[in-house]
Amino acid sequence: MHPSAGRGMGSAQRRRRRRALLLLLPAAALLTFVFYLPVGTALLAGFRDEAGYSPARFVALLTDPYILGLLRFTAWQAFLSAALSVAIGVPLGYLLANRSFPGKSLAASLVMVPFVMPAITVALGFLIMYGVNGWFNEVLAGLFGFKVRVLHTLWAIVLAHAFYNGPLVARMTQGAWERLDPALEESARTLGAGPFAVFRDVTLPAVMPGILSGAVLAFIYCFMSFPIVLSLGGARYSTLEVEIFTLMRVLLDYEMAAALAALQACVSLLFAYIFLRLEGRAPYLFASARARRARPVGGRIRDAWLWALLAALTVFFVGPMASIVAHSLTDPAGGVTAGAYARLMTAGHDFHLGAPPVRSIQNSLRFAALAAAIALVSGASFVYATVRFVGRRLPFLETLSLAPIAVSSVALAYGLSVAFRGPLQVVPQDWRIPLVHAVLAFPFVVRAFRPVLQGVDARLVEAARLLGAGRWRAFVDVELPMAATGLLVAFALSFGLSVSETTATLMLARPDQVTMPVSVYRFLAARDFRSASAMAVLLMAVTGGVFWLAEMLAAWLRRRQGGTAHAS
Amino acid sequence: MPRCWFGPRRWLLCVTVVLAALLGAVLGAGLPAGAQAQRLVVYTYDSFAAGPAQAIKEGFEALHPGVEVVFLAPGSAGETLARIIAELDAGGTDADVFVGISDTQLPRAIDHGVFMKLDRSLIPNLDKVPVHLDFDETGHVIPFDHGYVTIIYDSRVLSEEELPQTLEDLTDPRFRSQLIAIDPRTSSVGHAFLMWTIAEFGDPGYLEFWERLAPSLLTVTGGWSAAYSQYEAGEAPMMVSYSTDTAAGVYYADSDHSRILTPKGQAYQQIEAAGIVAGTDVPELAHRFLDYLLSEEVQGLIPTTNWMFPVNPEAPLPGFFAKYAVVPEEPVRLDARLIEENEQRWLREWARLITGLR
Repeated sequence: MHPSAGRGMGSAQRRRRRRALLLLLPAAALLTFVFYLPVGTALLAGFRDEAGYSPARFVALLTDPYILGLLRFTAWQAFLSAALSVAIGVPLGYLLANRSFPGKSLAASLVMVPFVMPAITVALGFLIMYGVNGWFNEVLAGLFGFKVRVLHTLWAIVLAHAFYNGPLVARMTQGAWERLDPALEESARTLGAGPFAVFRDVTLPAVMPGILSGAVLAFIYCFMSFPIVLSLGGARYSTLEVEIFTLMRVLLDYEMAAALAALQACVSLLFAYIFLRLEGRAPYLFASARARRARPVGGRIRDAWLWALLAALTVFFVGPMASIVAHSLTDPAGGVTAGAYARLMTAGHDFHLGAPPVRSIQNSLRFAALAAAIALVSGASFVYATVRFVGRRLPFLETLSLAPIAVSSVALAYGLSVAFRGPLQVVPQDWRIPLVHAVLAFPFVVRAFRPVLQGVDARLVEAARLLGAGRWRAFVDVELPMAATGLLVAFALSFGLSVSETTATLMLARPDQVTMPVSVYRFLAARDFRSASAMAVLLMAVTGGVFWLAEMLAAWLRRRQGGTAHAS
Repeated sequence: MPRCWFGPRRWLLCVTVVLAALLGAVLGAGLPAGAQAQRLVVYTYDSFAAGPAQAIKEGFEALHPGVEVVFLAPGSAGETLARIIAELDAGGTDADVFVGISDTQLPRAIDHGVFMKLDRSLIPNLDKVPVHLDFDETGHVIPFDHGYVTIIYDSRVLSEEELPQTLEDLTDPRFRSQLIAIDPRTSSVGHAFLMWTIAEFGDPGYLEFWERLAPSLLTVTGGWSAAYSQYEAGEAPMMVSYSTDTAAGVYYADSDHSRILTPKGQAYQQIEAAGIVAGTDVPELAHRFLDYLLSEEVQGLIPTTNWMFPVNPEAPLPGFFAKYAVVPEEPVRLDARLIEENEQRWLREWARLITGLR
């Protein structure tokens, strides 16, 4: 070989590596400074005593049957919740990706709304729906003459978790399903495979990365859950997070809290690692540029079960939300009134420094827009570097990238509040909350974008480059449009996460930085239950509106890309 | 496909423009810089911020031109205290005053150096406060209101004759799943109720009581709001709550169906206090603020905005409040130092019992 050829290869290699490192930089900077250093310092306190570092507390926790019992229950309810989220999310994802039905575009925009609802509002929605005197039970009693006890059981917790996370799994599944080339399934059918065999051997492996991505997020999310657990299940069903909260916020035993938070993070990341190994085993089928034709849910007998499924999903998701809307529009005596909404607009009725409570919308939107932008840029470039420049799966690195949502939110908020008064003091106040929300959203962006980008055949990029396109041009013209669905889901998730986050917000916020969910809690504290619900409805409407705009943008992109495909 | 002037990247341009506009709006909408006023930063709990805070801010600013009062409420009183301590540990807090610390939390706050010693001569209104309410012998805080945690019941469901007469009566099988309690680890109301059972049954007698009580508990929620919603929706006819709830029901919903139980004439007393945070650079102003908290003007707001009793006996009580809010004949309190020494063990023992993990 000519020596210069060797040098050329070397420099191409170096360029690749430089590019990869450059792309990893935003994520590395964000996670290191706003997560690993501050939160790691806080957690390390659990391993420190007068003599230096020791695992004494950790060992004490691991040998305490009470803590082990909590751990077992926490994992069990998270497993059940993730399983139900998959059971609900996959059919929903199927409907969104493959079928058309009345109200579909509305459903697609609203499906992520549960994700942003404050826990206390979901608890109220469930109470109005599934309570002993709730309308669901009234209907049951009217139709069949019996009621079911849902609240104050493990099932209330699992149902509420599925209400939050089912949509998450659905969106992840939908993203994978939409990119699956229908020709694959068609040729399998032509070759004589029955519908079940096609589903098992072609469809399921293709959508599996999406399902697993959703499931791992749902599991971690439910593993850390606490207000939902206490409100709907009760203290009998305490999770580890309740214990961490007690140590950190009531007993001010930061060391023990840190050790327990470290244990909790280790366990949930271990589960995440196992999931990611499984996901890594699933074979990748490359996506097609050909749009999937959405078949209408029709009037045939065999579509009857689809109608039933649609009805059940509608009741399950719309029920609690509609209950909150109804609650916000009634007065205590049972009459209909919009008084609660009027109070949101009144500056006198106020705890927002002279501004009316609706002012919190502006705060929430500002934080969420910034947070989503930071999370998208750092998360997408992280995924791009690992998929395109590294190639093979890095389950360990990916597990580490999930860490921000695997650390107890009270411990995270504590570590960050200390850091922003110390080494991170230079960060301007207006950027602090968005940065923290971006860190929390980062794992969601990675999980949402990765399966989609992985599904874009790298050979398409090479073909574009052979035709003379630069790397950037190839990315913008080939990969970006094909991966747009993934980015859209990533945006919706990070935006929603920022809007709904309260633990860190309350710990870091300035007096004027009241957000929408904080406003909901304030109204509740002031015994104004109707205004709390009205504020929650506003929260749902505003985020639903943002999701709808994003959905419109994505639909337009898909149409555009379809046009390109025809032109080529 | 016809190519127009922006070519295939037109959509990208659109997205960029939209994003840039959004970002601009977001950054441009920065808040007006604080005026050159002297600032007094008051940390408090959420329902105080949502209740009397606005009126107090306006009143105090009117009395002291050039002063700006800023309230910050990071959550419950416990969470607010946790934030102040975390900030102090990290080198300093913005808080000048903390309004709302409960008597039971005080020893821990003092141990963490949260409060400076008060100069009581700068708080003349303190002389009006009855001695039994001025509980802090260390001179760090002043009381500003008090309330009573007890059982409330729905008089439309339970008749007078069936009511429990003592805490022990609650364990009767006829009250199976009839009571909503609140978690002492996450709520001050729940905490007060647990302390009451310890005062009543002793240690370890309280654990045996809770074991007998367990069948009567429909649920133990994380906070007061969730419990109250469930009670109001008819899930159970009794809940752990405040003795001012009938008055609040009359005020907000014109209904007195929620009534107050005072078993053996007792209820657990909570005294809420305010103090000046150590390291403040406006100690004199902070003292004047504490004095203002005790004025008749502010104390008169406490009943209907914070649903507690004022500590200044000269403050006028609204007629319906005087009629419906219940002061027990025999308020129960546990010594705060005793609580501090045993709290961790009590909460852990209680949690082990309730979760069944032992």
